[in-house]
Amino acid sequence: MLDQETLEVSTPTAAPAQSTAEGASRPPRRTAAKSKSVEPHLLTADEVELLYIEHRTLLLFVACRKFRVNEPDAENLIQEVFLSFLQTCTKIENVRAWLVAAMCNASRHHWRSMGRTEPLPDDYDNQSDPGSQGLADRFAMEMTVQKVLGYMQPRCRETLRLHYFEGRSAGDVAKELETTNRYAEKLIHNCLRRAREIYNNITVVQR
Amino acid sequence: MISQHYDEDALVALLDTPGGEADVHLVECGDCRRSFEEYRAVTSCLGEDAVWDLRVLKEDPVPSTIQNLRAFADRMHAEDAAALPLVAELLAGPRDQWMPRLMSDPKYRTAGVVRKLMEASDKAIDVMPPDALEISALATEIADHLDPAAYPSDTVMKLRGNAWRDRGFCLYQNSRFADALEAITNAELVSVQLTVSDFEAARVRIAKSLLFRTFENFLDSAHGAQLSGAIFARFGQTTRRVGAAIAEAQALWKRGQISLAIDCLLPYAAMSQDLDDDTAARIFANLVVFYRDAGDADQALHYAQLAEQTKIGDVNDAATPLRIQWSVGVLFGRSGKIREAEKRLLPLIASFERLGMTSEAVQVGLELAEFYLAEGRTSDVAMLCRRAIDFYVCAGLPSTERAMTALAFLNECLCANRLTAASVRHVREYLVRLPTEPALLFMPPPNSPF
Repeated sequence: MLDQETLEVSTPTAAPAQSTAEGASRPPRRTAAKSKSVEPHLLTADEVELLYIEHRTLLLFVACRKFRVNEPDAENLIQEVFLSFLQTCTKIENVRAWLVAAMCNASRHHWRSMGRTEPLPDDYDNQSDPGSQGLADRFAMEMTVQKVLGYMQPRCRETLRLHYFEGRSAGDVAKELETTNRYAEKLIHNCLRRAREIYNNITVVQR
Repeated sequence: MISQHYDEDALVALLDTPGGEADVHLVECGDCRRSFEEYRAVTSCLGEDAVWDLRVLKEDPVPSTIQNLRAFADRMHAEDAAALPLVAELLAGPRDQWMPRLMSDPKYRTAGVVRKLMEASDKAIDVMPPDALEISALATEIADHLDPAAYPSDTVMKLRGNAWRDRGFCLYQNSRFADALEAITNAELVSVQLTVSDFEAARVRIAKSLLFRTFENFLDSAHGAQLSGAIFARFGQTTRRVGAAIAEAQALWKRGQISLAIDCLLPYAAMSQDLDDDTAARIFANLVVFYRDAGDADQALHYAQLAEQTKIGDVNDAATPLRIQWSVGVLFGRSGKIREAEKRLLPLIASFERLGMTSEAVQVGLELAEFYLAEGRTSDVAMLCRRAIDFYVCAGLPSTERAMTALAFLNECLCANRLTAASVRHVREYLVRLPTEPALLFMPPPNSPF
């Protein structure tokens, strides 16, 4: 059978598995959780609404925080993305990944149509390795870390920003916070531990 | 033996240590490695602009968006339902009546009819390609003349792009390659204008890549497939991503860049446990060919076995699994594992015969005869030759007479104790060509005793 997508001849049924004479080890099949596939054009209005509610926050984060689109425009783009999704007359394997990539695409299109070019986020192209973490997972994690920072004390947040965002050494952080190197180091460690604790609490709830 | 776990401070300190992830304890200790990875994931996010913008986004769903999306879904379903009888009516009778019928009545001109026509062409392409081609012409005719203002968003443009891509596929299937390229180019021009253009453009580009291969433009074919693969990856569409990698690898292979073709597929073979069986089997089957052509029989055999074990696809296709086993058997034989080859090839002779595939049954027998000769098992070779002659006699094929001449030559060689593997191969290659070149006369090989 020819696959319409790739125009490739798909491999047909093989005979039942036989014993392997040369000990070729067969990889275990489907150990990873398989993402849910959908055919968007078959979704009912209720299903569409549920998908919108499920993914809206992440899509809004992508548009507003990764591409700096303002919120009302971002909402319009979310609608465009869903309309495009609904008209995709083919099976979609990973809905969240599709929507997030489409949101990036729509956000760039938005800036182009406004006569501006918005630089792509630094982590946009981290997709060359077949086993790499998906863009959607990455952005979802960033959204969670943003929430984590919102829960932290300002001094802790500032410490993390100086060290991990601006890349400043513990010594520089000490100068900035007018404290000793040793205390700054301790502060970096403690604040990061706290960030991880909050992150784990949030994601445990989400799971 | 795992030493004591690292405390949190030690893990955080390792984050700032160059090469910290290679720490001996981290490599050995799963718990510590997991904690380290969690820390690293958090610190990696802390390096991103987006996480430091702490303004709160309104998380509540917007009722008007929900209303619009629901209305769109309902409208699409209503249009599709209304299109069903219209399409049945439009496609009634001989196909040369379809286009005049469409041109004479505007009632067929809806987005729903275009969608249903695309479904119909998809169904028709395997059973009646010319019908599918005409259906795709109807779809593009309607899509090209729909008013974009009558539908929300990019509906019409997206539909137009899909209809042209579908037409390109139908033209390809009807061997009208130049027209197919033109249709695919039309689809490409439309797709790039969409708000969400990347996914559709990648689908078009992969089709174009395959067309380039038909035109033996393997460089552009490989490049297009690679670009599509990157987009499919970004959209989380693993099966399509692998399909693109296979297309890229095949283009590289056709350019003679076998090691690049292998490199292209190996990462996907390594993650085959995450793929569905059909996709995994396609990877394995391609690697068999690439390794075989690279002269690495062991690896070819390894992947042939994996391909053979992967249960997949079309249950009505009984022949191709036999062909896979045939390849495996031959690979065993060529690598000197005659017992393994025999175990696989002997039952195949009867299996092909049961399917009425006489020519294949004979060829498998002659492949086996070559291996037997290498071991001096002339009586077994004689048995296979007799069986081959019996097949042709029973089958009564148009090519039987010429095939019998070739097989009689083998028999004479056998009787004179002068049969060689080269003679068997010569006859087998002649029999392979015979069905497509029925006028081909049999000539004994050079230096033949007869």
